[in-house]
Amino acid sequence: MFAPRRVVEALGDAQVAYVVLGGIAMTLHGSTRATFDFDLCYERSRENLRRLAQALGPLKPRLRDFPPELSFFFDEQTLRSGLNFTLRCDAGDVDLLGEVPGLGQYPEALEASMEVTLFERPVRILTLDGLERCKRAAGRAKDLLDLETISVLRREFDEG
Amino acid sequence: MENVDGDGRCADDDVVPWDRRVLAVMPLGVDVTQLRENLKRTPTERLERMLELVAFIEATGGIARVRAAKGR
Repeated sequence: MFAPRRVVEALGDAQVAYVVLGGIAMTLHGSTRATFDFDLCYERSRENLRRLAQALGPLKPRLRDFPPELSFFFDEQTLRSGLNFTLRCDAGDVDLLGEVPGLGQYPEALEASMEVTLFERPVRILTLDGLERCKRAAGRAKDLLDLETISVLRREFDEG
Repeated sequence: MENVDGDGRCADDDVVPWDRRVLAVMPLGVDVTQLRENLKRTPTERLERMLELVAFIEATGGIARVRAAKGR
């Protein structure tokens, strides 16, 4: 079952530095499109990788779309060895991105982010401008729909 | 077609992002009424509402079709 609240709480409790991207960020801005995974850009310092592994470990992350018998150790070492991870865990699908097409790494994501309150916690999410850069770089059909939504949201904010 | 060169590119191609050019000729039609209703909610309420939709899709077996489509 997709439960972003568990992810947000786990990351918040462990004080992980991250920025929410993708469909969840679109939803928080007001989009009505359904999304089935939690995308985030994480900071790659040693301390943050340790916190991230500690936070998500209890949710039993494994590699998505890989045979379940393939062994996978989700720890600081694994996170340091890779960059982008598409995971399936007990709280649903979570994508950990060390680098985001159209944006860059965590410092650039942080620069293009804003704070919102989510489940009574401060969480950083990409701004509409940041999302626009990502969506434009990704260029899939759903990104085109999101780009149109972003443009409508901007208009609503300008008029509202 | 005087603005189109031999490669089929328009003079605007380098200044107008690809998505705006596509949407200019083929708007997808975002439901503005639904969007306005959603903007009255807090971010947490927006997410909870979207999760209700996801739960409905999962309950009706739609998620398998979504994942299968994504895998293609």
